[in-house]
Amino acid sequence: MSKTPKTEIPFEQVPAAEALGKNIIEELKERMGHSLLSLDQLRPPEGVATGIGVFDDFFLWRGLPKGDLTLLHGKPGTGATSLWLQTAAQIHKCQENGKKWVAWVNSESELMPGPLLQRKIDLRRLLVVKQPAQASQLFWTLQEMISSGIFEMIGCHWTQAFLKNHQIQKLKKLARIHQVALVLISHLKQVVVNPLFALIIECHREFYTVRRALHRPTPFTIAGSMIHADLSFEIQHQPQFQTGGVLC
Amino acid sequence: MKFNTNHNSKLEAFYAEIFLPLSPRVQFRDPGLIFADIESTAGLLGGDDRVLAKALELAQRLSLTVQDSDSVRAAIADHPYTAQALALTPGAPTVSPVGEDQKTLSQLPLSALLHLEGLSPWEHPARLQHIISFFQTLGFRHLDQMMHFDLPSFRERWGTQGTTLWKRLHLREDQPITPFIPLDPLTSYGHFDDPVSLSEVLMQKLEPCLDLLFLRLEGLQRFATQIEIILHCEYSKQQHVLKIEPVSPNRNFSLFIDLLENKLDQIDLQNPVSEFEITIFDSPEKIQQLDMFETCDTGQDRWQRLISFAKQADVEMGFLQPEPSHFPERSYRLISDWPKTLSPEDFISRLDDSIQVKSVYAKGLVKSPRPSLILQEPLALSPHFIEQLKFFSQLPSERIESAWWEYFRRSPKENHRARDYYFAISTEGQLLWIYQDLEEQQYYLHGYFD
Repeated sequence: MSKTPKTEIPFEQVPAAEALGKNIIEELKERMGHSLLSLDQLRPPEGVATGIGVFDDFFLWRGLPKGDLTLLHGKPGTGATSLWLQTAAQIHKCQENGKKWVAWVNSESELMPGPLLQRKIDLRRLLVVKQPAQASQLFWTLQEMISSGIFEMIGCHWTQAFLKNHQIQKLKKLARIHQVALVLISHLKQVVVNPLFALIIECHREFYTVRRALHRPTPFTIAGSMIHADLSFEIQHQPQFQTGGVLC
Repeated sequence: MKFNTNHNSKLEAFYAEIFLPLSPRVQFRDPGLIFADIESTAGLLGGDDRVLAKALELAQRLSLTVQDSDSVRAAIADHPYTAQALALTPGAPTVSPVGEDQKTLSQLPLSALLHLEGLSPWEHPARLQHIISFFQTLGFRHLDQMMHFDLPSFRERWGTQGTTLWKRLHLREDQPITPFIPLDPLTSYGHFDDPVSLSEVLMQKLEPCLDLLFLRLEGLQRFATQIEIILHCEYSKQQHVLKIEPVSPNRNFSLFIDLLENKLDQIDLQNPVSEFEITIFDSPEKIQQLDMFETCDTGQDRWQRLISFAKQADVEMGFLQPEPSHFPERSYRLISDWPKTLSPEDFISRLDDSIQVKSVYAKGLVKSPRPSLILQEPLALSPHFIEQLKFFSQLPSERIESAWWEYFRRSPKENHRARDYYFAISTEGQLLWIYQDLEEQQYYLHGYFD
């Protein structure tokens, strides 16, 4: 038997399908079977907008993937948290979204409310978890938070000693079920391109490199100034620096 | 109007608490009869039929909790004894219209006399049975046939009991229902004939006891702040004390059950449990006035549930509450209630034509650059590391020090020493927040502009 090549034709592209009436559509469905794609299949996977045009345009999710894992990699002070905060601010800004809560799990370093208020993040919609003492507690806490179904996005610092691969796998499954964007922030020396993460971004403050993203050519690099304002510029233009401050 | 609920199980007097939502005048009478005066509350609760349905629902829940398969019955009438007779006589109507008790009673069979008791039961039920037999031999079938006799006839033949019977038949006896005063503690106790080592089996026994206590809480309109469960083990007089304390007092039964299950999973039941005690610490129900403009948030219960879960597992979580402290590490804390925004504006008061402006201390701090991540324990930096850093300026960006009186009352744990803060970039491009302790001249890493 000779094999007939399968051609995938989007449902909308079938010529004048609506005009032909329901019977013809049924007939087409019978004839073409699995070759037809439904609207849901054509829709790109959902994402949480970061509010940064370059990122939102580049990614298939139009932001950070919802219902999947994201890894932001970089040493502390290189801008990974800024990207998370930027996305959190965008979620809070989006008022039509009923589920607009975000959560953050502290590590040795903790979130400060000042910069959050400056970014107009609603502190009443941000649940902060103090660093759990044990690895099992962190995993349990993340599981409970994801399955509570109230968060749009959860951020957490990740060290390999605290979350094993099989645990990440379970979190990925939970995130998919409850449609939560789980963002892990890693301070390891080398970036681990783990296939469990749908999106991996390496942060260097001056530039950001996308190491892994669904259906997109990687690595892809953008300038840091496109993500966060040049803080050093802001600092130097404070009143006290204008009088006596000198960059050394 | 009164209604009557019959229950044939061994009920305790304090179970009348469960019916307090219907009326403050509730009275229990053995065996398992509960009377409530709903004359003033029926209108508020939506009428007789709704009150009856609610009473039956409560009684049914109580019945299920004490594992009694007997059916629950209730009736509404003007007098407690009429209500009892209606409830316990098969085929009798459940609601007697206002002022028509006698008409309703007249249609009942002679056997209904046994239940014509109300709050004071018959002293000699056997003698009453004799009265019923007497009228049956005369060919009487219904109570209306007895009502033609006058009081002296009853008194002459059956003495005091005859008088009481005549008065009840003609609705001449008043039985006021007194207000119920709850005095019994919210405690429960249980024991196992065979000690238990499985948490699932333990839960099967604990759950009905807790359910009953929660029913009582609902009746008393109170919230549980803490539940203490003491599990007594079979050997060595070992005890497990489980304390379940949600973030805010509530009456969410499923939440407490989930928290209890979590607690039970954490304890070792190798030494089997033979007895248990449950104590509920309660608090008055708090009625919160919601902001008219606050959107109704269904997620509130869920986050409270989540925070309660975390508290049981010793994981601290909550909302960031800015605190009025100029020291960065003390300028916030985690709270489980909604955080309040600190207002940094000056306080302006106006009296007639004069205006007074009170400047808020350190209001400029709100706008000063702060790192997104702060280290609770500042990290001491070596001179070599400091040499490699690129400082933004030779002068500090800000100096933080306490008022002179703070030095005298400071605790040894709190660092009130003056500090000079700097911004610096490391060789790896990290933007750091560094301070120099002005007393010991040591540099510390205090945060990251991450």
